[in-house]
Amino acid sequence: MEDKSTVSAELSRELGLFPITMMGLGMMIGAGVFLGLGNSIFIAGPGGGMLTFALNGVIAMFTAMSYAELSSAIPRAGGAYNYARLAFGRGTSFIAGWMEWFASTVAGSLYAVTFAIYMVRYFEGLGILTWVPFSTVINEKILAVIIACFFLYINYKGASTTGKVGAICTLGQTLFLVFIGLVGIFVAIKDPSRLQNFSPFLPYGWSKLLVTMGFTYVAFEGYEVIAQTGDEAIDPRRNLPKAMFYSVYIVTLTYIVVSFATLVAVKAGSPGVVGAPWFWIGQFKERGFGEAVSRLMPAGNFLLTLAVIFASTSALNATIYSATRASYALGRDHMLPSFFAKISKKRKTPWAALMMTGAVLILVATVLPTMDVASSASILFLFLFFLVNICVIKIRLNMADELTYGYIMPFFPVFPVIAIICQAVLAVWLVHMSLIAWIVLPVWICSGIGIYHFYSKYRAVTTEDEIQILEEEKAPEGEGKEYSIMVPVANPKNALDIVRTTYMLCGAKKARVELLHMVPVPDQAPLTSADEYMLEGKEGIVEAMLYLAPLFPLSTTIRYCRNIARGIVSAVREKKTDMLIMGWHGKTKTYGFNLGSTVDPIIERSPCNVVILKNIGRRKFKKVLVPLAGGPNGAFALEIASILAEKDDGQIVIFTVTDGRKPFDPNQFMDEHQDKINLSRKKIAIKTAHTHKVAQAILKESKNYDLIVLGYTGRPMIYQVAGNSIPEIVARRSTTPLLIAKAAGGIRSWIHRWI
Amino acid sequence: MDADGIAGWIIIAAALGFITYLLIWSHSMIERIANKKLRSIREIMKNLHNGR
Repeated sequence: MEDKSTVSAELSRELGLFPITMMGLGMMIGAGVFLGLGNSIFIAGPGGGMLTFALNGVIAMFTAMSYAELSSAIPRAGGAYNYARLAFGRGTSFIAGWMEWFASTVAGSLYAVTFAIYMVRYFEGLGILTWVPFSTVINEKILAVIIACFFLYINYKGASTTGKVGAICTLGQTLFLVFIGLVGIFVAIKDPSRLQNFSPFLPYGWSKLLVTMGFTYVAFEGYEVIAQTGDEAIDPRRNLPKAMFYSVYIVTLTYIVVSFATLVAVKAGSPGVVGAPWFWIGQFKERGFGEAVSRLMPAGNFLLTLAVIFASTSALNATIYSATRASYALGRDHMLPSFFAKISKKRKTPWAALMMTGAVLILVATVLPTMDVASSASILFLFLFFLVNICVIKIRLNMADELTYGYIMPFFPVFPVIAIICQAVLAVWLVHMSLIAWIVLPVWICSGIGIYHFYSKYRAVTTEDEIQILEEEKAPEGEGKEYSIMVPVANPKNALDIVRTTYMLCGAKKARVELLHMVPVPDQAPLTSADEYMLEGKEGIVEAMLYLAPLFPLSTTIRYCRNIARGIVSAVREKKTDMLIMGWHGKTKTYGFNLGSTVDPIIERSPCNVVILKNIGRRKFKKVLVPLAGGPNGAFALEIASILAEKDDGQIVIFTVTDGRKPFDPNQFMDEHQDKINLSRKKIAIKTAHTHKVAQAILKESKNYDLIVLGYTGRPMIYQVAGNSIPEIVARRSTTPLLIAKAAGGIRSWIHRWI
Repeated sequence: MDADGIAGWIIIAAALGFITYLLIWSHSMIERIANKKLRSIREIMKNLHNGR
């Protein structure tokens, strides 16, 4: 027998909270604040610097919350690539990973070149390079390659070494910037007249802030590298979210304090300062920060050069790490050649991905103009963050019950929606800064789409989270749009229980039927063993077909999945089903669920009418009880009851319970929904009970009936988990056959249909 | 100080206060989830509600 077992190397878990936070900080405090501050003051005025970083800090915090939630639930190398794969599937995830790799690599090239430029200038100032026979540009390129190779080697040595070296560099630059800020505050206290430098605060108006925010947003991109450490972090569910929040908070504070210090560093009327200090600083643009700091303290120029060296090297270290993990993840899933996923057995690092990243990084650093490519990297990062904010919404809506979260954001989905809007605006404004960036973006995306369609699509491995069709038989297409009813069948007994109700509803709606069996393959078993679990489902489908196939157009589908609820909701969306009918055993064992871990998510997320049946069997319903209180699903419950009640001798009793505070008029309710009632009004009676114990009253009344039809609660899930609603209490405790009805419609159904 | 300046300083202070609040809230949420070994969104929400 062939031995299919393989020994695969894994990344080692060596990174604690401190080095991860420092890696995030290192990627953020790269060159953005040094180059961006002077430009911000030039474009928006003296208040522009601080306002830009404060507002960007808020947007960055929102996106950090999305990253924190996702990275705590999916702590794996790959970051945005993994999130897009879970949320949207392989195609989108490949594009996300493809952009992630390129953006980080190009940013790394920029930092290598920035380091080289400052070092060459410094050495030239000391007269050290006079014996070198090359031009300044060639010297810069050679030094950029040397520093890139050095940090590629550091990354090869392992995550621990990477983290330690990066942490030292980052700590140095952060302490220097904080020192500048403290000196600035000290100077302002000593000489309050310098606060006049902030007047006028925004001489060119508030709209200029959009330009400066877009330009400097790259200074907040560090959470991507933190997400990439998912495979190597110690206690990732706790440490990754913390590191993201700490790093965003620290850089925001640092940037604001440094912006303040830059403005108060220059005294009006001092030698060499012409005009207002803010205008004097701004006219130096990228060098404005340096010119101001050189006047703040002795040896300011030297210290600034030192800080830029620290900043560019730590950012280079972090971007190499991030880009390598992004390409490693693509190789691991066979989206790129599996060569990318090779791991050094000695160092436990992805050496092949590192080598390829290094090759692209050095090529870009030596060949391409840096500023326009850096702008392209910014747009790619904005696009990535935009995507991640959509992913966090989609994954929370679809997979919240399956993932183990280490953090969840408050006020979901307000913050990601605000971040999406803001990032779209900032990306658009970047057009004004670099047209080439908006050429590079579509070119890179199109090349990614090409690679996916001609290579990755046919080689990518199927992940545990995907749902696959095993067998499918389609009914002939009818004319026009037919009402479609989906019936998930678990086994023959379950099929017999729900077939009569399905028959009556299909008859009333003139519907076509889709019989579905989801094969739940346990996590421990390989997906290839799905056949072993599908026998009962096949028998159930055959049983249901015996009754339904002669009368209605009927299709059957068998799919395997890891999670039944997600599989059914996915099928409902895909088939654009109008109504879902399914059985429920009537018990719930899982903490936090009202009707069970399968039924709750299906009711909440299915964008169609849902009918849940409990103990229905093949009975005839002569007396049907419909408790009503005017809720959003009451009309649908009444409609279903009128379909199921016996036409000749059936009777519906509308039961209302009142404690005198909220008057509900059943007659008016029936008048408003007359078109939905398929039974003579003479056969509908009204009964009212006066008590505040609503659930008990319904349970007591239901004992004399053949069927209870309940409208599902209209409360969102967040309120449902807080306490049981009346329909859920009745549903669990009732011994009478019971049907729960939830109508499609409204904004929530629309969201679930499209997101 | 002009009106833009007053508004600007208020916005900066508000932004700092807001992200400080989000940081503290998020930190306590991470610790709470970890200490109580909560897993799914439902468990976390139910626990949040019961803890009030």
